Amino acid sequence: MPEIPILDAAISLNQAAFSIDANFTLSARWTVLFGPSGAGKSTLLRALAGLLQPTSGRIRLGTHVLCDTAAGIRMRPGSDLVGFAMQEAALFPHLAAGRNVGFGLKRLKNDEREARVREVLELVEGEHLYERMPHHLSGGERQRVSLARTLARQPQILLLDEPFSAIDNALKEKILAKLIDWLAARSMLALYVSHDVTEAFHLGAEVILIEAGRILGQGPAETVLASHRARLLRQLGVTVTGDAPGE
Amino acid sequence: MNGFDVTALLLSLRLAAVTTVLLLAISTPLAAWIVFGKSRGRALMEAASTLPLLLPPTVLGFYLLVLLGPRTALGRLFATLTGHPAAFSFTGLVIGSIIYSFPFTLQPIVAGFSSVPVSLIEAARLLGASRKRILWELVLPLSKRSLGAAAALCFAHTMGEFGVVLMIGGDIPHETRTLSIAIFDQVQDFDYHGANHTALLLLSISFVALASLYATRKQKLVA
Repeated sequence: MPEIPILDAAISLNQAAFSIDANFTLSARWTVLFGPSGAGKSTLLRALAGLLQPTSGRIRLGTHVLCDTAAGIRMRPGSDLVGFAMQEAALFPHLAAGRNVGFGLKRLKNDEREARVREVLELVEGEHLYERMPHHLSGGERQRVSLARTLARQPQILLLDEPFSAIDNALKEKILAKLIDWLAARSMLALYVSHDVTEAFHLGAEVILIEAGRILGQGPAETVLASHRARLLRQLGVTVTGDAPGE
Repeated sequence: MNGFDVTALLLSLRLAAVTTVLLLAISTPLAAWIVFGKSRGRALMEAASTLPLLLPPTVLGFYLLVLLGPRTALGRLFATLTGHPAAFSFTGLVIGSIIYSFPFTLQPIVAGFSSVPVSLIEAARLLGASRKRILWELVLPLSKRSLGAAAALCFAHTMGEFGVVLMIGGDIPHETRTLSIAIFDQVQDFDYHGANHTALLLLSISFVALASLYATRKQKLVA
């Protein structure tokens, strides 16, 4: 099994009314990016995906330099190394789900592409959606097809911006369980935006806590989210410390 | 002269078809540049392409006549390359029609391209698609209706143009006399019956072009 790549980022990004200063290293298989609305989670992911150019800084994934403003290396979207599943499914409305998933696999031969598309659709419990047009899909189905489209390219790092927000909990947990194994088998990293404290604990993920564009902490969920966990337990009326309750 | 002039009808149809094909070929990449490009020249190009909407056709025709005449380098170059002057020829009519119908073709395509959601373009970029692939496999299929609207408007508009055609093409039977000029001739000859037939034909062609465009519009579902 190949080694897990390490993502090393130190970037500043200034937008009209918002700025991000982020310096972090991802080495855990799963990292949850946690923070309140407007903290800069999606902006950070968009920068890592190449949709936004950092004002200054550097992003390195394994031996690949994705961006280095000092050296004039600009981020570009569509790198084979980075996959980004957005909250909004953004499926191409004129293509059936299978062709949507295969859109980024142009370089593969037809039979290889078909096999890969079916594999990732099965992974998101969506093999039956292959022939369906996007306008015949529910919100959750659209999100699953969109996730499959990102997975199909088998990037080294997967950026997930709340890709399960329209999917019910039971199905989400089933897909996540399969996804954890699938990513592990391919030594892929995942950076996962979630508002759900319990999810970070369930995944056994490392957590990056972000607020107002600044990283406030990084480490095991038990440490970084200790105060959030205690508050959640208090809200649930639990006075004894233990595992976070499931949904 | 009684009834309508078949030669003029065929010439008008040919002129409208050639102009439509050429303008779609010119306007599509230009619209992509206007919508997706970053150059500051885009606003100037849009303004220039919209000018024919505001100028009287005779002004356009006059400038074209002068610009493509034997006194300018461009006119002489054209004559050298084609063996005949641009003025009073079918080629001259095509050039005039392209300029006159430019905004009617460009603007619907610009509107169509602009309506493609940014999220879809971003999704395609994230999947490694090149600009060319995004245009061919995403933007164009999603702008089919706008391209159809541009083609229908350009065709109908060219069929009915008068001022530019008269200025640059004159009124040469079988060469530059289009249907709209034939109507003018018929009225000059007090052939109101013939003019009525020709006008009705032009009206029908324009109506069919527009009706076919609107017939393809998707029914909006109102809850």
